[in-house]
Amino acid sequence: MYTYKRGCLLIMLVFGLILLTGCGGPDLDFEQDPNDVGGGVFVRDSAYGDPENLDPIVRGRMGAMGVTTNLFDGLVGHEPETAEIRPAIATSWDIHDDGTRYVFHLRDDAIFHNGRPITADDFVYSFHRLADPANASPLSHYLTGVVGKREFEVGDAETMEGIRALDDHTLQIQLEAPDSTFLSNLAFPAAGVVPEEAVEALGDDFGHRPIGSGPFVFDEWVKDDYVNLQAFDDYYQGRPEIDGVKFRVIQEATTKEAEFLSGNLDAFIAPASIYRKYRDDPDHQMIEVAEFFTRHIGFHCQKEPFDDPRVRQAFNHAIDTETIIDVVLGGKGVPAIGYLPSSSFAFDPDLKGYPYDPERAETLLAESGYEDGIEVPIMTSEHPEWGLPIVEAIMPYLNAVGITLKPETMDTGVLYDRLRSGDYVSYIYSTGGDAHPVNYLWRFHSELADTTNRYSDPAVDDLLERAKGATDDDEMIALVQEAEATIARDAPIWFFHYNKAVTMHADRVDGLQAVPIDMFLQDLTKLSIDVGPR
Amino acid sequence: MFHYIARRMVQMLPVLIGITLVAFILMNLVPGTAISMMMDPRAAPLPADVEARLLEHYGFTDPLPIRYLKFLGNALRGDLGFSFRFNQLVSIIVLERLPPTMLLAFTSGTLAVLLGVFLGILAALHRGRILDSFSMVFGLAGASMPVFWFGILLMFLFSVRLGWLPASGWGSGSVSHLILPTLALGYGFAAIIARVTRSSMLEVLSMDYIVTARSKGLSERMVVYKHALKNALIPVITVIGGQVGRLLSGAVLTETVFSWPGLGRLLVDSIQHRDLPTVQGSLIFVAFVFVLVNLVTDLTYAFLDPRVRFE
Repeated sequence: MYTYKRGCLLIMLVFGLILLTGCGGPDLDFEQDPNDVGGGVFVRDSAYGDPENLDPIVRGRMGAMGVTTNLFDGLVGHEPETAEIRPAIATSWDIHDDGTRYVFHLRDDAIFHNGRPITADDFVYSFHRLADPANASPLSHYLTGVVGKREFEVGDAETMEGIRALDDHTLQIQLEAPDSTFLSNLAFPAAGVVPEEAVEALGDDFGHRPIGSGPFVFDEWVKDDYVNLQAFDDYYQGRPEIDGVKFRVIQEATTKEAEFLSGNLDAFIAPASIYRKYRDDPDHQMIEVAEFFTRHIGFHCQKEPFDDPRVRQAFNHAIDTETIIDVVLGGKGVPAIGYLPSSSFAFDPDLKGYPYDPERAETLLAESGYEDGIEVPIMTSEHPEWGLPIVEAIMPYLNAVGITLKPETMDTGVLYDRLRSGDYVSYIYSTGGDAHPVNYLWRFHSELADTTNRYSDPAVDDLLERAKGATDDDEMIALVQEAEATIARDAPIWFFHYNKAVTMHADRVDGLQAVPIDMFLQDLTKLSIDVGPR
Repeated sequence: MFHYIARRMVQMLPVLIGITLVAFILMNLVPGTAISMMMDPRAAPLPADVEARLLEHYGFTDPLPIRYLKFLGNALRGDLGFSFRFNQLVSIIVLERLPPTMLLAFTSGTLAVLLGVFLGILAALHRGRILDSFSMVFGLAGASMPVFWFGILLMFLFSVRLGWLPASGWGSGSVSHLILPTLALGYGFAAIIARVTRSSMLEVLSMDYIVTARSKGLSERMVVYKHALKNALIPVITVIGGQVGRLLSGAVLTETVFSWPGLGRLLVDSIQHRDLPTVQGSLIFVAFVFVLVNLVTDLTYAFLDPRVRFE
C-alpha cells in the first residue's frame, strides 16, 4: 500500500514536470518563426482587437474592416490619403439620366482567390446578399436608394430591379434619385464582391475562412491571437510587394510597446500615453493624421439650458481647447473648428470656430438669462481621450464663467443607448460618419435628430439634401460647407478635437499612409519592407 | 465512492442552472443593447427598420423568460447558442479558447504547486532561520505584487532588454511563449501555497506522533516526507482546489498583458460587448470546471487521509 501511493505521487510529479517543460513544441532555442520576422511579412497590431468576423457584410466595425479591406475588392475603392474615389474592379463608369443610372465597366482580368474569373453577375449576387433581410447585415443601408431595394427587403420582389448585369463585364445600377454618397458607400469592403460557390459551401464559416478577390489571401486566424494574410499572386494590379501581413491582437498598449521595442511588431497605432513618450524621439518614426473622429460634448438641443444656442456658444467660448489638448492629450489631437475634420476634402479652411474668450462666454450666458450660473449633468465614459479626464480638465474653465458640470460615469454602450433614448442633458463622446462629407454631417439632419442631439434646422436639412443630390463635386462641396457653417454657428456640440491618429512604425517599413477615414484602413499594396536583419 | 461521484454530478445541475440564470438576469439588467455594440461608434445610427430586423434575427424580440427557457432547452441539447459578435456557434468559440487556457493553467499551476510546497517545507524545517525568512519574503512579494505589473516587469526585462523571450502571444503553445505568463501567473499562486504549506507543516511537526516517529529512530527524511508532509498537505490541497478553477477562468489580467487568447479574456470581452450567448457559454464551462475541481479536491482528501470515507 505504502509503495503504491508513493509511486502514484512520484508519477504525478514526473508527469507534471514533463508537461511543464515539454508542452507544445520542440523550439526550445527560441528561433522566431520566419513568418514573424523578415521575409517581407508586415507584422502590425490588429488595432481594434480581434476582428471577430471577416465576412464583410457581418460586422460594421473598423476592427474587421481593417482586415477585410485587404481581402475584398469592390467596384471602386477609396484613395487612402484623401478618401476620394478610385477605380478598383470597375475601371470606369458612366453616369446617365441626371445621376440616377450608373454603368460600371468591369476589368476582365480580375479573379477570386479560388481562381474563378469575376463577372458582373458576381456583383449582382454580392449586392443582393448585402441587402437580403435574411442576412441581417448592419451595413445593408449602403444600398439604400437603389431601385427595388425596398420591395426586395420586404419580400415583394425576388430581386432588386435596379441592379442588372448588362453583359459579363458591364453592370448597371439604377438609383431612385441622384446620390453623391453612393460611390463612397460602394468603396467599403461590405460592397466587395464575394464568390457565391464559396459563400454557399461555407455558410457561417465564410466569416472565419473568407475568400475574396483583394490583394491578399486569407491564410490563418487564431482567435484573439493573430490573423495571417498572404500576398495574392494573381492580383489584377500585380502581386503586392510584401509577402504577407500578420495582424496581432494585443490589447495592452504597454505590451504593444514592448513588442515594438523588441522588434516583433513593425507598426502599431499609438495611444496618447505612448505618443507623449516618443513624439520628440527622432529614433522613432510616426505617421499622423487628423482622423475622421470628432471628439465632442453633445448638448440636448431641446432641453434647458441647451435649447438656447447662446448657452451652447458660451460653452464653446469658455474652454481653452488647445491647452487641454496639449496638457491632457500630450498634443495628440487636432483642435476642432467645426464638425467636419480638417483632413476631409470638403473642409472649409475659412470656417470660423470659437476662440477661447471667457468674457464673451459670460456675456452670452447673461444674455440668455443664466447670469446666476447653471448646473449641467454630463454623461461620460472613462476613456482617456474623450472621457472623464477631459471632463475633469475643463471643469475649472466652465466654473469660471458660471457653468458647473456634474459628471456621471458609465461605459460607452450605456452612454450610447441613453444618448439615443434622449435621457440626458449632455455627454462626451467620439463620433464621425464615414468617408463622405455628406454622410459625415448627416447626423445633424432632422431625420436623425431623435437619436442624436435633437438638433433640427430646416436650412441644414435642405443644404444636406441638396448636397446629397448634387451631381457635381464642386457644387456638393459648396453646399456641405454652407451646412457646416450653419452647424458651427448653432453649436449643437462643443467642438473639441479631431483625433490625431498616430502609427508608430519601424524603419524597415516604407509606404504606410496617413489614412483619415481610419488609420487602420491601410492600403498594404503600397508597402515595402527592407528585409535585411532588423 | 461511485455513488458519491454520481450524486455530486447530479448536484452540479442546479448549480449550472443557477449560474446561467444569474448571468442572464444581470446581463439584461445592465443597460446597453447588443446592437449598439455591433456598429462602429462613428457610423450614423441604424435606420429603425434595419435595427428591428437585426433584433429579430438574433432573437432579442422574445420576452425575457422565453429567451431564457429557449437558451436552457438548447443548452441541454448541447447547443450553447449563437454569438452575434462572432456570427458563430458559441461552442466553437469556447472550444477554440480551451487549449491556451488549459495549457497556461496547467503550467502555472504545476509551477506553483512544486515551488510553493518546496518553499513551504523549506521554511517550516528552518523555522526562524534565514531560509525561513527568505521563503516568506518571497511569499509576501508574490502575494502582494499585482500580476499585471509583475508581468510587465518580466516582459521589459526578458523581451525588451535581454531579447530572450517573446513578449506576448501564445505561439500555438511553444515553450518560449509559455515561460513569462507561467511565471507571472504561477508566482502569486506559489506564494499562497508556500505560506499555507509552512504553517500547516509547522503544526503537524509539533504533533505527538512526529515526536513518536523521531523517538523510534526514523530518519529525519522519513519523518518529514512520510509522516508529516502527507498530513500537512490536506489544507494545501484545499487551497489548490480553490485556486485551480481561478487559473482556468480568472487569469484575465495575465491573459491581457501577454495577449494570451484564453477564456478569461473572452468572458470579459463578451460582457463588454453584451454578447450574452458567449457569456453564458463560457460561464457554463467555467462553472463546470469549478464543480469538477471541487470534486477532485474532495476525492484527494481520501487519498491523503484514509479516515475520510465517502457515503
